[in-house]
Amino acid sequence: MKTVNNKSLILTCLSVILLTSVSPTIAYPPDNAAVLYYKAFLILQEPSVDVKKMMTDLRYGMIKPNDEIRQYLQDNRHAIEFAETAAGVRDCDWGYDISKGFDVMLPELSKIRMTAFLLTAKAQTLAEEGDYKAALGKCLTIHRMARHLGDRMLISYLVGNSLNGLANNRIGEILSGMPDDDETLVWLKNQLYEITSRANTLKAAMNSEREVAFQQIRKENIGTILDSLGDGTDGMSKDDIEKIRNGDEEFFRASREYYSNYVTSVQLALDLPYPQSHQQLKALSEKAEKQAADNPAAILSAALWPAVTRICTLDVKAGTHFNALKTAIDVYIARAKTGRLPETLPAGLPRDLFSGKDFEYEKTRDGFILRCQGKDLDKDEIFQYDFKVTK
Amino acid sequence: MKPVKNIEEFVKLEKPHVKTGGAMDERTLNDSFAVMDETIRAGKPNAAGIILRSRAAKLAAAAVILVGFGLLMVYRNPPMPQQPPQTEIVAKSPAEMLTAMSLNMAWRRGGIEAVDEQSSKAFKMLESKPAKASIQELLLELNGV
Repeated sequence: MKTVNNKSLILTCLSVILLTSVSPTIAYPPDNAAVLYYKAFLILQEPSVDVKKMMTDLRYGMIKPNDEIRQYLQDNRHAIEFAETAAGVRDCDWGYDISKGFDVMLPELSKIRMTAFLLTAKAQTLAEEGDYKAALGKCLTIHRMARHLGDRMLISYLVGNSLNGLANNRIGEILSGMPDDDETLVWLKNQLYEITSRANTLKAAMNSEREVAFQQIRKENIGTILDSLGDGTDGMSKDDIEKIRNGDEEFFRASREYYSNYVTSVQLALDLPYPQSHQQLKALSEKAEKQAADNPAAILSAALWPAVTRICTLDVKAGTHFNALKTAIDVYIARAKTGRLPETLPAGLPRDLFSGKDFEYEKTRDGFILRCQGKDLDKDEIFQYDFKVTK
Repeated sequence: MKPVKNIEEFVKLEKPHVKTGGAMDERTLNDSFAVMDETIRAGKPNAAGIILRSRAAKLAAAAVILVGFGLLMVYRNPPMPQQPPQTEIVAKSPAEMLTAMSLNMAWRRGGIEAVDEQSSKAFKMLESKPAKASIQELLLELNGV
């Protein structure tokens, strides 16, 4: 009995030793998705001018997938594979050196957009071939890539939002051409809820941006600030530039404090319903611009912050698009179960964030429309989402 | 004689040909002296003539004419308001075009399309080309075959 126990103990120990010594060397994928994304970017082939145009036309629904596009996708299959594996990894650390302030490099933003364009083209070719679930899977990969861009920088967050919009447009198109498939619809719905539950937030992005700005708004970084503002100093006077150039430690301390308070006010305004939030953000923005004339500490905040009302609107638009898709999926599920579109929207569905109300639901000759009840106050436009059904 | 009117007429008619500067000032001064000397030579001993015999008085009178002329020019050709300073857009390296601040500014200018465009330019400048090196190719290179 004792010998048996000893043997078991030795075997267990050996197993533990083997597992701990061998597993790290064969662990794949790595813990950090960025490693795989960078691999994908290294082997990503730039399309020729003609193919690039075809890819754009395909995205806008002007053409169907053709041989050139299929060949381009085939040439980039390894890049797509790396990106898909990366998207499945939980964490992604791009290696930002925040101590550099706004000088931190973000070359991945462009490359990840290009990879997302590849994925949407791949999704369209798969849908064309009738493999709808795989096509939807490519779109979900884009959503995961958007999450991986993170909220460490405001611009990363905004690019992530644009990726979400890209993926949601494709999902809407795929749903419009997909035959009734209850199982795939439920799967898609669960995936979308899971993705949005872990989505990046604008508030977090603003907190990070404040952290970065604190590194940047310092006397020693004055040259970098002025060089960077050279790209878009709309409304910045010579006087303002001189005030920044001649700013002492107290000027930069006061500027940081003003910036921080400004971000806090913006974040509080974001908690309000969209119309009030938009109004308050507009007032805050105008106040900062006016104060910059008398209060030097306001100059940098007014110059460094993008239009907060537009950012807020884009955020609401992105959230509303997700909600429209979730609502549409429920409509499609109802149709898959009953064979016809419901007369009214099922209860308890996500809302239009522009108005805080349910979407307006309208059956059309070849599908249905989900219409917002509130408008984009920047563009004075009401969004609606058209969905078709297969006969 | 209506000197002010004459000067106004002169400015109105001759303005396109007049270039102010040291030479013009000297010419005006000399003309003034010539007219004064002529008056004195004509032997008209009036009060003005007596006063203008001294060189200091001549200079003062000429200065008054010059100042008047200058004021007229300024009045008729007010200086253009100073243009707001344009912050020079310096040529940036591709790496600088891909910083958070530079991309933020691109977004402010034209949204995601401007970010795409700027990044695309940066990568074009870098001549970023896809690496096609497979393990086999790398091994071949390392082995020098």
